[in-house]
Amino acid sequence: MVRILKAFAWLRWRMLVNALERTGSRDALERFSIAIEKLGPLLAAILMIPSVLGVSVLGGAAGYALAQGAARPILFEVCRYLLLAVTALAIIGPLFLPAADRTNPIRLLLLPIPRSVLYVAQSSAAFGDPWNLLAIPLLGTVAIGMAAGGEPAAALVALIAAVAFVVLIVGLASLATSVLHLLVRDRRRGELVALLFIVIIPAASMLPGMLSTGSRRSRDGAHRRIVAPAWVSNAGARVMSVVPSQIYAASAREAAGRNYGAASTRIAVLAGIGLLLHGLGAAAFKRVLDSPGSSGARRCSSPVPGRSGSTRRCGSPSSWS
Amino acid sequence: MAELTRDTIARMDLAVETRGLTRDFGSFRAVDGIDLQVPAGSFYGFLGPNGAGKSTTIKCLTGLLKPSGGSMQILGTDPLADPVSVKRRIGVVPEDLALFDRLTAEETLLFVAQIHGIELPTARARSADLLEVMDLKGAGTTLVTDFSHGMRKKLSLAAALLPAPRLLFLDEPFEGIDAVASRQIKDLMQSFLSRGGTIFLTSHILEIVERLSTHIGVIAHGKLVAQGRIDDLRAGGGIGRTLEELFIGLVGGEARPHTSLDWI
Repeated sequence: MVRILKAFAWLRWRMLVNALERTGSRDALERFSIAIEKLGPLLAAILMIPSVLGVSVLGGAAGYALAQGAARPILFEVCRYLLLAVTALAIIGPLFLPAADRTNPIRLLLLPIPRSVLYVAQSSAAFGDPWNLLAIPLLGTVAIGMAAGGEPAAALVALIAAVAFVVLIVGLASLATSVLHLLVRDRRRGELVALLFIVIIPAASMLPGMLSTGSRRSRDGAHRRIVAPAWVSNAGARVMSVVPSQIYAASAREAAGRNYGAASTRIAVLAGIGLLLHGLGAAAFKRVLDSPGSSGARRCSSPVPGRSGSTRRCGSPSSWS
Repeated sequence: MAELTRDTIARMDLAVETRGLTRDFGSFRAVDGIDLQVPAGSFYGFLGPNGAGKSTTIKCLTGLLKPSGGSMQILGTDPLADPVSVKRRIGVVPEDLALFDRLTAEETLLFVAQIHGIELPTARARSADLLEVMDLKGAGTTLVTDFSHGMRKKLSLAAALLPAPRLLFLDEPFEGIDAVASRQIKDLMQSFLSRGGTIFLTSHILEIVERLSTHIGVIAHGKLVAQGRIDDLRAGGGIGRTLEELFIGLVGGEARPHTSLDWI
């Protein structure tokens, strides 16, 4: 298993290096296209270094503040929101990343790789996602900050919670990738998903404004207080309580307050959700490997007259055999 | 249906054997209970018209698709029970070639070698040999994305041969390639056969199958309609009969209704 994972690490490294170093361009338009294509990863690589340093300082300071007894230090709140964004990006990230090698494990099926190892290899690709490259030092330095603040036991608990959180995020990304692969391998279904995505994103962006409490000025100039319905607030609170980043943050806070029992319970919840996501991710991945999408086949069910037990085929016959 | 005789089978080891192999896609049966018998050391041409089920069969045999029914033995092992062991001993050139565009030719071969657990010096030596034989030595450091279709076919074949398999599955290896590349691939296949390997090949190009194959199987509408030594099958249909005539006779091409197309 180690040999295969090493081979996969080498594969991803070479693909990254080749994407940055080699052009293989043939004309000016292609050269321009490749330059644009390379600019993104280059900029990301350049920005990543100061970003990692920045989040490391932020995490260290937040952990230190927690260990010093602050109930809700603003720096830790910033960390919490960043981790919430990481959770969201783990779900929608596969839609944006050029994940051709990550989402196409079919080609690897021809090689002597056990399916379980293939799942681990594919899942571990999530460690290379930019948001995870930022989240890991952030989580690590929160624990370091707590230890520096004189709470080594709390730091250890926070570190365990961080590991559980990362495992969960990897599982979430893996599940999202496999589900996306299953959805888009049928062209029509893929287009429907893209359409829904285009409609849902703007609609979702309007929701906070629609549901927020606060005051608005009416036509006659008087201020009118808008209060979100109670069920919205309750549902929101309930949803947020099971968001992994919230569970991690609560666990770290409780550990800093030396409430290790409650912190451990939250870690167990994180681990449980992580296991569940990996289980679902493995099942979805198995479905990806077993489903006939690679044959590019789409089927109709209307029978052909005169051919017993057979059905009509859709599309080009060459895509069938 | 022409078949290998019981005695012949008993004398030969079978590299591939299926019993009632079936693959359904929803309510459509793409492969309908076929019993393949591919003798070890043979060049087995698997023929059929478009949509007959050739590639679906090869995908089942190589582990890309799970059969809906039936059993298989590849080199004496059930690939469903022990897929890794089977994949260590076979090489596959699939229809869509399954290459990583962002790797060079050398890197592609080294990755395959790493997965097979081949030591780096051996892997490098074999890669150099294969690239030379395939006339790809100058393109070893070129990204696969910049390869022509023929070059990709040759690289895919090199990747399949690198772990020194005993059985090669080739899905339409001559489709879309020029005469030079075709000749190189044919030479390499002959060399592989002469060293005791077995080749299972699908192709639409009957002349090539006729020239290279020792055995053929013909599939139509998902069913195996003929199988055996190519000479026996031709003799069964009359002296001097070509493979094309035999093939068209087997898959029912002669019975197709013709229109005069007077309007052309």
